[in-house]
Amino acid sequence: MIRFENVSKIYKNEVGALKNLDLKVGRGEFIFLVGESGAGKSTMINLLLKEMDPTSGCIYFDGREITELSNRKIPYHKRDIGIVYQDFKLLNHKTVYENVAFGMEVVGAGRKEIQRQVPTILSLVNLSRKSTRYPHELSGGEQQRVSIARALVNNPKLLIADEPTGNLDPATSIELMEYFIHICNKGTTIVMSTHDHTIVDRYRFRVVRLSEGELVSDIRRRGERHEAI
Amino acid sequence: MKRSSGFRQIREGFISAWRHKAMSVASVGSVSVALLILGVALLIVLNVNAVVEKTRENFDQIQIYLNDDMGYTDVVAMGKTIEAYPEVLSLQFISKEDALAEMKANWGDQAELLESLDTNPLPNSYIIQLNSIYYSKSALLRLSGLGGIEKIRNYNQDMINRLIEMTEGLRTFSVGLILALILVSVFIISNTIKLAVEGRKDEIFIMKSVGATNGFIRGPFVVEGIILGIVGAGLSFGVLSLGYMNIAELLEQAGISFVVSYLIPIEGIMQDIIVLFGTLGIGIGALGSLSAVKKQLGRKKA
Repeated sequence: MIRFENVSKIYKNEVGALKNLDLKVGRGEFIFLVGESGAGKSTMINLLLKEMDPTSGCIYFDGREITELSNRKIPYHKRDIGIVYQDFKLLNHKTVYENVAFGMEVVGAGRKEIQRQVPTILSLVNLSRKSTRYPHELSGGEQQRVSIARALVNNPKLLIADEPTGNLDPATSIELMEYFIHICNKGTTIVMSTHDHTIVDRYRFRVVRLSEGELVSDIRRRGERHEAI
Repeated sequence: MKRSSGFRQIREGFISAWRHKAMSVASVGSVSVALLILGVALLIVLNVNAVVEKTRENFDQIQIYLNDDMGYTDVVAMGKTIEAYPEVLSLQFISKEDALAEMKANWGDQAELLESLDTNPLPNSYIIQLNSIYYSKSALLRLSGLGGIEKIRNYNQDMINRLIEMTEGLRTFSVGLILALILVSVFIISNTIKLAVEGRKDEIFIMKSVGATNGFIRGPFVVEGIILGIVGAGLSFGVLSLGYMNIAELLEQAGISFVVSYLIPIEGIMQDIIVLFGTLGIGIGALGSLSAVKKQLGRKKA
């Protein structure tokens, strides 16, 4: 699904660079991406999204060499990847439903398609009953679920979660993890960058650790499949 | 692009222009001032050109009066020489008898007075039709080198020169001024759109992250810029045509009503100006908004 081949990214100020990274992530896998700030996690994510190009090396996504993608094709590449941020990035003047529908509208989906898909996704994250609420009327965990719904609404192959529990309390974080696991079990590959040790220790998924731009450990643990909620 | 999303983009453009009313007014104002000045300059240039064109038939003629002592062969030879000049389109010989006959015809009732003349005092002459008004100077120079000419009569060379210089000067000046004003308008519209872009930064961020194409993201802003450009163009067109419709009155008040008869009628000119203003308005608006969104649509810097 994802393959980094000897990827290096050099910045002028050296922070967050990557050095000769080799990594393979299989379809349907769940990996934790851990490491200090500036270790290169964000660089990896930005490279996957093709927000930037590596200084050297190749990156494959879903069988395609994405370093070769032309600028025109970048938006279509991004449609295959859903992304969830630490600060949710919801639009405050739109309801839950509208926030999720927005993700479809802007890629040119038809109205009927939107009317069919949005409720399905909202029920997946258990927010059907709050679809007319505005973000400020929701708890942090609920807001993050809205952003998950928006990330999933175009059926991406990969879901990237960038510190998704960073703004949430431990109980809510664990609850949110159950949703990610559920989504992963339905076949979506998940890459989650996190600082949250409790979460990493609790779920026995593969852990990829970066330090100063190098892959220092890649631990596969047994019992990776978890039961969904 | 699907129809529904096309409508969406247009609607968003209108909403955004309305949201930033003050800046929109400033943009519309600058576009209309720029186009108004363009229009005034254009009208002046076109009208002066028309005056030049209209009086050209007189101006590009030179009449030379020949000495009476010139023999027939000399006159014919001179005609051949002049006809060979590159500036000369055609040549007409008017004998002293023709001239007198014409004078009699012109004098009408008083022609009897001419009957009392023993001899014909009028000279033979050539009327030289020039290729173009621009050649009159060099033609005059050549003619002054010929012998046997009593007098050269041309129509005020100075005035021709002044008219030509005036239109050319005005043209250069207005092209410069208009380019500067267009740049200013693009800049102001660009700033207005930047405000709109700034206000929708979050939306743009999300659009980009879910994979909206740049064209899609740009759409509403370009629509907004074009709306501002068109409104500005419409406004200046309104003012301009209103002014031109009343120009005769204004000129009369200024005491130069004789100019009025030279003016190009409004119907003959306004259609072109509509097209020109519309194109420029749309162009300025689109250019301004494209430059405003450019930064937001770029990728992360390495």
